[in-house]
Amino acid sequence: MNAVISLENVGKIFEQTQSYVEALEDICFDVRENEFVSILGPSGCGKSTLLKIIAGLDDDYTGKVYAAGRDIRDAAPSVCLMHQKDLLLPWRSVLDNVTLPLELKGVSKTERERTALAYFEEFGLKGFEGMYPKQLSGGMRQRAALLRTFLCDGGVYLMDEPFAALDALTRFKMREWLLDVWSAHQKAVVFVTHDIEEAVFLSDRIIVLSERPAKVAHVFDIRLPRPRVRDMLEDASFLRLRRAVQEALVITA
Amino acid sequence: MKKKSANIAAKIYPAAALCVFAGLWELIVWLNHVPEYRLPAPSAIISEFVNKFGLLAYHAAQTAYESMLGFLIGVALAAGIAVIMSMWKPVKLTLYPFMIISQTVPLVVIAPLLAIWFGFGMVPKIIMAVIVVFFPVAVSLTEGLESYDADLVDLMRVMKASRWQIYKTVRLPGAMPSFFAGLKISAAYCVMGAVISEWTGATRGLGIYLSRAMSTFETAALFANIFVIVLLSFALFRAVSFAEKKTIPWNQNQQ
Repeated sequence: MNAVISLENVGKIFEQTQSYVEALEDICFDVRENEFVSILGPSGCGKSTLLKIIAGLDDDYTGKVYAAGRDIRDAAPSVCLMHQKDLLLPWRSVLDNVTLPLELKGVSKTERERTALAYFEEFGLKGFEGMYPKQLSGGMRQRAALLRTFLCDGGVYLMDEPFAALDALTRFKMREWLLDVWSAHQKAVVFVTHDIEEAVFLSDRIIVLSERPAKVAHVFDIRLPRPRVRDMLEDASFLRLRRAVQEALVITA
Repeated sequence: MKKKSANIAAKIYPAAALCVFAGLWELIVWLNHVPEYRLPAPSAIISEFVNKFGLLAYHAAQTAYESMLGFLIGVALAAGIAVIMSMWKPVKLTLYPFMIISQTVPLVVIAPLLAIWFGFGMVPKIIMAVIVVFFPVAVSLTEGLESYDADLVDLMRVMKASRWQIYKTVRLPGAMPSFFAGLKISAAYCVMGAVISEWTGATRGLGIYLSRAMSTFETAALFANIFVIVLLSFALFRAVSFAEKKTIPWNQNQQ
């Protein structure tokens, strides 16, 4: 299978007036088509920095990043980004928020609304099209944010702890629901998290980063069957993987 | 239901306070036989207001016209400069300190200067209103345009938005609440600017009426004047609040 994202010896140094901090060192991995990859690491290790580099938002790094085979320094990567904050525009209705990526591309109003409205049911937002973001619950706002990400139509979803700000119950529902959406629409996902259970539950592969300077400390292939359901959290195979990942994380931290 | 009663309370409480205050005032004047040229009773002010209504309206119309024009010009200038400053950093670095320094010059010093330069017509009054309006609007809009969420801008960049698209969809609408906060301050002070300028010399306007009333010890007329100035300022303030509700309905805090 082809790699949609490919990192070769990526490194990053934060320079400050007096000192400099090495954030990332020699990071290499590929993300294949339709693959769900989680990046797991101790907080502050540089996971978000890495995601920003892949998104093309930070070109102050060493090494190479390829998206769809092209160096992202030459051509801005075509990716979709989802943040921990919903980043919805408070002055726009839900519909006008989720259609933003189409609007930026110059798609006409009727056309972009028709495209978006087709997904409102699937994303659990039906009936909320005309509401302002602050009238929605946290979970619904994140679903709207995901629909907006979805309508970006890039090659990869880059997700930076998208459910971290939600309460435990909502977070769990969102995970299951994300997998539904993902399996229905098959795209590569790079999912940053510090939640071990979340990473094991969602991923095909987990890349564990070490403490600063972050290196790839471990790579786990998660061969649990799909579709993944809540009951699997109690399975021996799940728990074994979870423990293995946890140990890898503890050793690196 | 609760919201409605809260709304009524917001009107009744200050009205009741005003009645108590006016009542006490009336009582003190009456008990101490204070002469009207020193402190007129509220009843005397009201009768002055009614008797001189035509004259007050004649002067008020002039002041209202000057302040409105000054307000519009001031807001347009301030908005233009704030937008330019937010787009080109060097412009902001150059202008911002002078804008702040300009605010430290007292208005009563500027007023006679304007009269020397532009005479006793309408121009110096409008300029004065513009000066009063300019600063709060320019500062609040500049700050508003700069207080955007960097993560949001990052997201827009990943969606391949141009600089102008980011400005138009994120920064400009995001600056509106702060812009209106500045507008409301300006609306409340704008009439005062025109009045101060009229005070230094004019043929028509509340400021010159005020000045004449003072020099002839017509204290009741003076108070009636103040009342009209308050009314004008308040009306302008309410107009801006109304525009705010219509323009940025998403910013209403639930009460």
